[in-house]
Amino acid sequence: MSEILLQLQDLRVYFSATSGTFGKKQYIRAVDGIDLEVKAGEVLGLVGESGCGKSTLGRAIVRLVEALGESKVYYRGIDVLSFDKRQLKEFRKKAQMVFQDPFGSLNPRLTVGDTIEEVLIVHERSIKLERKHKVEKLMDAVGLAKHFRNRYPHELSGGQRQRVVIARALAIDPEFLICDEPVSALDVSIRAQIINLFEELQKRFNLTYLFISHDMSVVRHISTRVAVMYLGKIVEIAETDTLFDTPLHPYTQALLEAIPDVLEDRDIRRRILEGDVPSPLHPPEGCRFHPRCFMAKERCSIEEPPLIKKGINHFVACHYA
Amino acid sequence: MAEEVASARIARSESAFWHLMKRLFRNKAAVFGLVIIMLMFLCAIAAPLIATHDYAKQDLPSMLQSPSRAHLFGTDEFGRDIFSRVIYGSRVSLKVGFLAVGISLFAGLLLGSIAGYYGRILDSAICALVDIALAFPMTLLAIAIIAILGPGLFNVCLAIALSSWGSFARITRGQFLSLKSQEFIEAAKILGYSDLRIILRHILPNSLAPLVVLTTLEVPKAIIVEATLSFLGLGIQPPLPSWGSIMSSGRSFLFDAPWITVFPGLMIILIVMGFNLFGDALRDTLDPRLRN
Repeated sequence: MSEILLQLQDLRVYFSATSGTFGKKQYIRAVDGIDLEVKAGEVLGLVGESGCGKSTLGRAIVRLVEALGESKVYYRGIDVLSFDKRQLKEFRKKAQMVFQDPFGSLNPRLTVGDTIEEVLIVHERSIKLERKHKVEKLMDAVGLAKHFRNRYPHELSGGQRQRVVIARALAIDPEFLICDEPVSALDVSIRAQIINLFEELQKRFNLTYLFISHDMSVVRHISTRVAVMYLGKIVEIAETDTLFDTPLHPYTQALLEAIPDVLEDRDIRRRILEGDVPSPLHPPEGCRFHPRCFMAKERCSIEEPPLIKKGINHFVACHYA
Repeated sequence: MAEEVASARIARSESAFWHLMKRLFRNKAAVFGLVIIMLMFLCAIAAPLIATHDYAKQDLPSMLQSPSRAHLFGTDEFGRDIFSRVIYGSRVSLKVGFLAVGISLFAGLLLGSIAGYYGRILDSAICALVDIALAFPMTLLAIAIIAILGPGLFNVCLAIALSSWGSFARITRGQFLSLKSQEFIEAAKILGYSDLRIILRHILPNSLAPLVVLTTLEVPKAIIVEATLSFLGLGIQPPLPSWGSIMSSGRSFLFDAPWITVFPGLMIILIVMGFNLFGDALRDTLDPRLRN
């Protein structure tokens, strides 16, 4: 099929959580050994509960957080983690990120126009008139009227801010966009607009997305493939339709059953996950999901299941799936 | 109700700065403080016009005279006019206040930014330095530095700055630490902006509010330290009049000619009160928890 744009091999990000100078060395295993491929032109959805490490995964790819030594991130076959400062700057022209909180991701002291123009000032040798023209084109592409140019972020709604954030990310013509819960902070009515904008821009600029979200319905709508993450590991990955029609991993099944559905019979008893995600400081032995799993057997607490192929493009990490 | 809606609409159309100014001027203490500061500036700028006598001219026949129409604040042991000396003294106090705080603000911003932005070993080193600087009592440290550098206006400023830059550095560092984890800073990093651009254009403008407040609260401290140093004879050298040195010269005549000491003392109280009132009000206005 299409070319592999991004390849993660055994990606690990640990945060040190040592208490005090002489405390015992401890590590939060936010991302704990992930292999993943993103193909050019696809939208890969990444879902999981809060705290499972999905945002950290996104940040590690653009090196906002540093991955552990043996991790590998290949972008078009080139190792991103070995980049020096200059190479990193070049790489970041290709891979951009859209953040969750549209209130925090804009500098409150810069107008919309200045925010977008700054990207052009840093990365392009163009005269002011050209920049002005391009800023207007970008604002138009994300559906912002011209008169927002001189507005400050605090004068905008959440949806409008997110449009500015997207325009800023698009200003350096990226080919890969990491969307870190880009619609989670928005009102439901605005959410659909922004999702549609993402879809439209993807076709128009031929973008590839890594779309991180905890909202199953959003991910189903926008993704071509979906990866399910639990406690720093990927437990299931498949084409969107396959995953939503025949989920194999018990965690994926539980997530899907948690989606509210107006047409559903009231009688069906949902399997609701009990308890919280275990601490990534001390992940459970064996399968990480076994303490909350309804199909867990003895083997699950001893042996960690590898990610095994169970169908066409369908991989699952479960002994009994 | 209608008025509230109208004022809310106006507030939105105005920039945040003017909104802030309006709230500030609703505060009576702030206005009072600002008026005092303005009057002091007026004194300093228009000193030759306000002063009734030459501040350095000795007139021995009329020494130690009590306040009268000819000498509003009386005269000192050399017959010099206290009123004129006090008016000219405001120049020294304001000069030292702003120059000293200016130097320490610059040093504090620079070191605080580096510590907050780069972290790790630089942060530890600068923080240790700040701890040492803040561990000394300001006046004592200033005296020690003057003993090394020698007296004089600029040296006094340097001495005060060296003992007060620590609080600026600490506040700046704190601001940087809290802003560094904000998403718009992370976004700036991913967008490939240089460190200098991120610091100057994205972090610094957003961390100014507490620094402005600290500045208005540090200026009166600097003025007091200068007065103290001059009182001890370590600061401004005669014949240049400084409030501290005027008070010092009057201390042997405290019972015979109290006006020599009282008037410059009152001026110090007034200017310090002015800055403190204004600084406090500014802090209250900028503190979002106190907004209503």
